[in-house]
Amino acid sequence: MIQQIVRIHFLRLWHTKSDLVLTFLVPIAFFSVFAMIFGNRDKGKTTPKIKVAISDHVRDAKTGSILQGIVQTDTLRLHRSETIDDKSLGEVELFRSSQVADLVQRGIVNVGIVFLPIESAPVSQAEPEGFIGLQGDLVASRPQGSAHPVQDVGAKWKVQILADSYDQVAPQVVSALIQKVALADSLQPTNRSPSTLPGATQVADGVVQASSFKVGSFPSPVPALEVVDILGGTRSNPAVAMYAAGIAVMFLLFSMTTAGASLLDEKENGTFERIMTTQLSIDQLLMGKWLFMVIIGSAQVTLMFLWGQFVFGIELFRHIDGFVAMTIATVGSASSFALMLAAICSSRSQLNWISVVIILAMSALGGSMVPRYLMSSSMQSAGLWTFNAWALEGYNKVFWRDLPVRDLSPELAVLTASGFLFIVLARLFIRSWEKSC
Amino acid sequence: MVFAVPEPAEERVENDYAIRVEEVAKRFGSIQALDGVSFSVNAGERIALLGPNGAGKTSLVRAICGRVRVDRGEINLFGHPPSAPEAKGAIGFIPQELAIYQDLTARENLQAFGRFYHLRGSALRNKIDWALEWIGLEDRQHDLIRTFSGGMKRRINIACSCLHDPKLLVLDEPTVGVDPQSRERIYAMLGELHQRGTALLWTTHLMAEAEANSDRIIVIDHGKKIADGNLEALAKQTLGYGQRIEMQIEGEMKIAPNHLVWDSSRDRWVGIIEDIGRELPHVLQAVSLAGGHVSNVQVRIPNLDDIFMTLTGRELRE
Repeated sequence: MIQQIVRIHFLRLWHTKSDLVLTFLVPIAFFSVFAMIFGNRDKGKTTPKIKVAISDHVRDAKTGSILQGIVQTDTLRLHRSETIDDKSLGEVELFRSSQVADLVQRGIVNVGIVFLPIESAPVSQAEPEGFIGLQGDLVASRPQGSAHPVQDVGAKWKVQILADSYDQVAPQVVSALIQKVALADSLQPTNRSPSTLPGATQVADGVVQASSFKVGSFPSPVPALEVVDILGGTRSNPAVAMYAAGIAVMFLLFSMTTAGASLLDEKENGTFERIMTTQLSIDQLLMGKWLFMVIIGSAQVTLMFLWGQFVFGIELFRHIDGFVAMTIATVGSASSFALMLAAICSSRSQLNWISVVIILAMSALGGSMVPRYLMSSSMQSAGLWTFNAWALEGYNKVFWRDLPVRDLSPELAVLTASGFLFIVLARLFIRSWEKSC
Repeated sequence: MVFAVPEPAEERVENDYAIRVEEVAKRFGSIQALDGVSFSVNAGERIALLGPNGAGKTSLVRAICGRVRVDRGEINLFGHPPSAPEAKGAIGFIPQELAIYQDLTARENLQAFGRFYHLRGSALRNKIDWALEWIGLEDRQHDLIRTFSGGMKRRINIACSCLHDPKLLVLDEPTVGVDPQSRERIYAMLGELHQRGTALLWTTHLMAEAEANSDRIIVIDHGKKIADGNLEALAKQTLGYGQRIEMQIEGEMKIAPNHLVWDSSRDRWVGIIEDIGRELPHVLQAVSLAGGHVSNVQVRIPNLDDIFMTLTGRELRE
C-alpha cells in the first residue's frame, strides 16, 4: 500500500512537468546564477573596477607619482567629465574636491580621492586655488570613529578617501592601493630613506585598513589616509532603508504576480470568457486589474516602510516625495510585469513556476538579495536588464543619497517605460488567447 | 447533405433575425472547427444546437458571442457584428462552466455583472432584486457562492447574464451536472424569458430536453450544419415515416437480419420500418431464418436520440 502511494506521487510528478522543473531544475538554475555572481569575482576580466574621481590640491612630485601609480592599476576606473578633450584621455583628469564629493554623493563614482595639504585642514577653511570647498556637512557628517587619519609626523599632506559606506569594499581597496603604491614609490632608490622600512614591513603584504595602520614614532613612507563617509553618517538608519527596498521590490513582484494570476483563474474558470461577452472591453479589464494591483502594491510597500519608520528608524517622512514617486513607478511597473507574465502563461501552475524562476533570478541579479557592487562587471551590466536594479537604484538615491526627485528621472523613466511596454505586451498576449480553442 | 425546413415565405428584414450566420468557417491549427456553417435564429425563437463532442458547437457559440474571429463568413446579431456595442448589449452568454466569482456573494456577483452591462443605480438594484426572486435565492443573497449547491450556482450563473434584459440568450449546456429538480427550475426560468420574447440558443447533449424546450433543432457535425428544423420535420427527413423497432433476440444468428442493426449501447437489435403490418412479419421471419429467437419486441415513434444517432453515426467521438 505504501509503495502504491509512493508510486502515485512519482507518477503525478512525472505528469506535471512544471512541478518536475521546480523540483530539479530551479535549484540548479539558482545555483548557477549565484555561482556566476560570486564565482566570477576573482577573475580579472569580470572583476568590477572601482570608479574613482580624483582631486589633487597638493600637486607635488610625490602626489603626482602616487597618482600615476594608482591609475595604472587595473583596479580603478577614472571618472571623466563628458566635456573632456579626447586628446587628454591618456591623462589623469582632476576635479575640485566639491565635485568629487558630489560625484560620490550621486553614486556616479564609488570613491573619491582627494590629496589635501595638512595645513589646510579642516578642508573647508583653507582651500587651494580652484577649490570651491566641500559641502559643510561633509566634515560634520564624519561619524565618530569612521575616519582615522594616519598621519606621517613629517608629512605636509594627506589623502582623503571620500567613501559611500553603502559600498564597504571599495574604500578599503582604494586605501590599500594608495598605501601600496606609496610604499613602492618610497622604495625606489631615489626616494628611499631609513625611516620607511618599519612601515614597509607592515603594509607590504597588501590590504591594510587605514584605521589599523599605526606608524608610531617612525615617519611613515605612506601618506596620511582619512576615510570620510560622505553618505549615511547622519542618517538615523539608512542601511535598513536599503534592505527594506530590496525586500519590498522582491515581495512586490511576488505579490503582484499572485494578484495577476487572477487573470488566469478567470481564464480557467470561464469568467474571463464570459465577461468579455459583456460590454466590458479587454482594455477596461486590464486597467481595472492593474489599478487594483497598484493600489494594493503601494499600500503594501508603504506599510512596510511605515513599519520601518517606527520600528527601525527609516526616515520615510523626510523622503516622502521621492518615496511616493519611486513607489508609484515601481508598483506600476511591477503590476504590468505581473499581468504580462500571467498573459504569457496558459495556466496558473505554469505561472507559478515561471514567476518563481524569473523573480528570483531578477532579484538575485538586480540586487534584492546581494548588493550589486559585489557582483562582477558583467553581472552588474546584466543586472541593468532587471526590474529590481532600477527600482533599487531609485530607492537608493532617495534614502541613501538624499537626492531630490528630479535626480530620479532615469529610474522613473525606465520603470514607467517598461511598465507601459509590459502592459502593451500583456494586451497583445491576451488577444492571442482567443486563438486557442 | 443537410436536412432543412424551409424558411417562412415572407421577407424578413435584417433586424428580425436575432442571429444570422452565413458561411462561417474557422480553423484552429490543423482543426477545421467550423466549415461553412449557415443558419439564422428569429427573434424570440428557441433553438437547440446539437452535435457530438468536437462537432464545433462551442466554437460556433464563441463566434456568435464575439469571442472568436471567424476566418470566413459573417455573423450578425440583430443586424450588428458580434463585437459591436449594440450586439453586446443585446446578448447574454451563459457558459457551461460556473463562470461566476465563487468568493463573492450572490448579490455581489449580480452587482458586478450588472455593471458590466452598464446598469447603474436604482435600475441595477431593481434588476438584482428581480433576479434574486426569479432564481429563488433571495434568502441566500448575502452568502458566498462557494457555499451554494450545484443547482443554486447554476441559477445564479444564468441570472448574471439576464440582468440587462437581453434579446438573445446563448447558453452552453446550461443544465449539465444538476439534479432533475434544478433542471426543471432552470427550464421554467428559461421559459419565462422566452415568454417575454427573448430568443434562446442553447447547446445540449440531453435530447429529451432539447425536444421539450426548443422550437427548432440545429445539428452540426465536423464543423458543418447537417440538420435544421423542428423535431417532426427532422424525423421525416432523416428517418422517413418509419417507426423504430427494438428486439431482444436469443440464439446465435448466422447473419444479421434485414432492417436490423446491433445497438451495443442498448444491448439489442434496432431498426426502422415504415409499415409495421407489412414489414414486421418479414423481419421476424428473417430473424428466425438466421437462427435467432425474438424474446421481446418494442415498436415506438423515433425520438431525437434516434435522429441524432442516424445523423451523426455511432462512432465514438472525442
